[in-house]
Amino acid sequence: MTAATAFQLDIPVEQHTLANGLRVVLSRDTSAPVVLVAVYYHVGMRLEPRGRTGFAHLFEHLMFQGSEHLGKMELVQRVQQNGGALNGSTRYDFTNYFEALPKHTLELVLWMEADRMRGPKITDAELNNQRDVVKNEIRVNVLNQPYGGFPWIDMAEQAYANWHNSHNGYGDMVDLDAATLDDAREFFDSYYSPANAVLVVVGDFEPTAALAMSRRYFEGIPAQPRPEPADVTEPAWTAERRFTKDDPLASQPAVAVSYQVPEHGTPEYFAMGLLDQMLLQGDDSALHHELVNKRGMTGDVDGGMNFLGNMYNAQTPLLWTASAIHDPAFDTDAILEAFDAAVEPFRAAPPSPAVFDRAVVKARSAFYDSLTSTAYPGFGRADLLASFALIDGDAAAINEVDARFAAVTPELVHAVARDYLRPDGRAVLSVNPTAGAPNASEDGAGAEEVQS
Amino acid sequence: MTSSPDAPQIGGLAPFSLPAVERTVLASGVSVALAASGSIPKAYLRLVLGFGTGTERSDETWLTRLIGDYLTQGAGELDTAGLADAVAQMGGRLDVSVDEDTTTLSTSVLSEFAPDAVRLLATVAREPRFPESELARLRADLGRRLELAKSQPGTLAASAFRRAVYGDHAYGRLLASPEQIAGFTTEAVRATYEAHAGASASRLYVAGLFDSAAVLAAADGAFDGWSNASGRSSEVPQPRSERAIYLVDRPGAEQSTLQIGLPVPPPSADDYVALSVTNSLLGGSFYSRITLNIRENKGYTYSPRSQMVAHPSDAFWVEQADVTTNVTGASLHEIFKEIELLRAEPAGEQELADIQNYVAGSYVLRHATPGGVLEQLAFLDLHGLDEGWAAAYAERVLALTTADVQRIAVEHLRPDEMTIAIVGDRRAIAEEIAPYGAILEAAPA
Repeated sequence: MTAATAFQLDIPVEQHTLANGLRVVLSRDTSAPVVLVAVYYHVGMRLEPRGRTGFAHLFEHLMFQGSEHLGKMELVQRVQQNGGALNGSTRYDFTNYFEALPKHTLELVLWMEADRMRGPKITDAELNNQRDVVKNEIRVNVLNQPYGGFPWIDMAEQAYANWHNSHNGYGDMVDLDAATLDDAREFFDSYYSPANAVLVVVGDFEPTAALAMSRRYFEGIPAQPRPEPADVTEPAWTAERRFTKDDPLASQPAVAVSYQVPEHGTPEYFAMGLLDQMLLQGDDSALHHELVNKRGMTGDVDGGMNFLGNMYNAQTPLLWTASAIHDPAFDTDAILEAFDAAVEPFRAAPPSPAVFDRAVVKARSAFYDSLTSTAYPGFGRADLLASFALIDGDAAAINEVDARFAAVTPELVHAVARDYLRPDGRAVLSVNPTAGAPNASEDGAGAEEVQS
Repeated sequence: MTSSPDAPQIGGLAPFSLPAVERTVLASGVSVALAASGSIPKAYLRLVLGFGTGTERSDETWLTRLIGDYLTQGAGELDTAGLADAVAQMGGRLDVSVDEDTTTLSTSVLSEFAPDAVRLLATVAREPRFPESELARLRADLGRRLELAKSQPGTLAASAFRRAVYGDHAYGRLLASPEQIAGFTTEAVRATYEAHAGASASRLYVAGLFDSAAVLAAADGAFDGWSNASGRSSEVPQPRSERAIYLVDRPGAEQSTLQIGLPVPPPSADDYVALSVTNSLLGGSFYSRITLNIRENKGYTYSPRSQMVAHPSDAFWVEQADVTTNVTGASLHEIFKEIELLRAEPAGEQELADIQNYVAGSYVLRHATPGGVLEQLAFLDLHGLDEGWAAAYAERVLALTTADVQRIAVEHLRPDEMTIAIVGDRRAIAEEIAPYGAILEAAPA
């Protein structure tokens, strides 16, 4: 065989819809004797009720606390005792649950996911326990860390106009305290219906058998109407806005700069993906060259098009954001001046063929990386199949990504840079480090006690 | 609502053979391991150099990190930007990671570029430019990383724990000082690198999809004639532990960040496999005793976890958790209660069988992706374990008895000798942690 044919990406995609509306996506991969099962529900942080921020995420935790045939944590126990790994996560547009196991366990895993698709079976004890766990998750990742909510929570809260996009998806402690079992029932009934979900199976299995098992366990789950999608539209930004946040745990300043991006799935959106590669991803990027190599303002510029994932697994509106913890010798104006020095050439003219071609290769490589997962073999592929099914309406679009990038021209990249990366249409968030400042962290103790 | 069907019966774990690995030693002395794996047209490469921060003298802490950063600043004909462009053209990025025992150059590229990527890694390893012009910037970057590390409670807890266990050994120094960083020179970087990086101490790993004959040929040519510096081994450490609390005061902290542990036998020791299973049962997995207790029952914490951290000649076991401030003492109580219980009574037969299946099945998962295969190969080589060890691993796991696990807990997990490091609000927690050991002040960094 020749190298050219050996190294093609070709992801098998088989799609079915069960009688209750559940979509099933099967993608065989026999490179290892494992299977990955993922269930994606089309509800995430953007759809939670007002006054219940963080509820989509809290509910995700509750889905591990028991269902008709599975006691609290029994799903975790059964996955473990069969040699598996599992997790779940809450994103902007969906909530996912997934398990990676040796391949002989497929039927058991499908049965378990079907059991909990019929609904959690829990009491106040489980709710209160997971409320405490979630509050500790927020403490360890946000409240007790320097740059804890920077930039993903802080920028969204400041920059977005639409509540669905702007509110803190991790949740306000007061809202978490207010959550009840009635809320959970209502949330489940509204959003966790088969027609609002996608089941994905990736790995070493027989497709005919896997489909039969999926029907056996999922098709009997009663159908429910699909919920109305939220209106997440965001007005176009027409001025530069600047925000500052004091961080009492940080000792160095930081800046994040955000721009709105083109609509998901359009040619312009893929052009933005290439701009992301040219400007921000890797040591060859324009921002790295300008801020790191040339000016020594920071050691690293981070960012991308989706705070909680990649350009494939969220719908727009999204923000293209670049951020850096930087040397205190520079203020925000100086950082922005360097930032513009890197970005403006892309707004003034199409990129050179060398820069453009390199970005196309990088985008393809990054796409391939997003298909892999070391901790949960098969998860990367399942994640994108589910995302394409939920967001783009067709899981098979996973095989069109290379062509979508190939269709982008340098002229389109130029137009997108000119129209979207406008200094008068961006949001700038500065972190003001106050660690060590007098009384910076007094009175923090006991402000948020869980146990009473 | 209709009722759901009962659980299906499934069979047991099928016999599993490890992925094939092609191993060879090049004429230059570089060891090579190639593993075709996965289904994505990418190649994942690692070049592991035989030295890390563990060999640093006390006046050169983090010099190896500076070397790591410096390796990205040009090599051979390529300057800083040229090197970044060259690797990006293959779809990759040059990452240099420095840990206590190794310095690793890694990248992942589109499959067709795998031989080119091997040549590029060889050039970086053999002909780094170490340009004087970039020194001030790289030192400043390193200084900011130090400052950031010192503001993170997890790093501060690890630092206090390490210092207590390893004392003056380099493994005990997780954090540098700004003054030392400011004094690093290009000459020191170059001299240290040239003395310790060389063919016979280096290992090349490639996993993923690639043309292995072309990769091997590229490696053979690219490393031919490389110097034979042998790497440098760390001094053999003498880790020790006694029950005491090293407290880093963090006024106002909403959580206390805990590290509790002690030295245990390293991977090359007979007891290590049994220790791994015992760890998974006690705190090293989601469905483990400590996690079920302090997370799923008590809600004290989100992500408790125990693990072994290993060097070639030693290891330690540590339980880590970030717990709500007002249950710091209660968390210590529950953690020690679980350790004591495992020592006092044999685990349940079914409980152990479940954990054995978990550890054995996880071994299948860990070999299912190119990234996992690379991890496993590098682990074996670092710890001097051969393929026989890997092949027998699952069988050894499944052969353990509840008596073995109890013996391991009694012999190796001795609570009376465990070091406790805590980063938290002294004013709020001093009284409740006092029963668990003498409180010693740990310097913040």
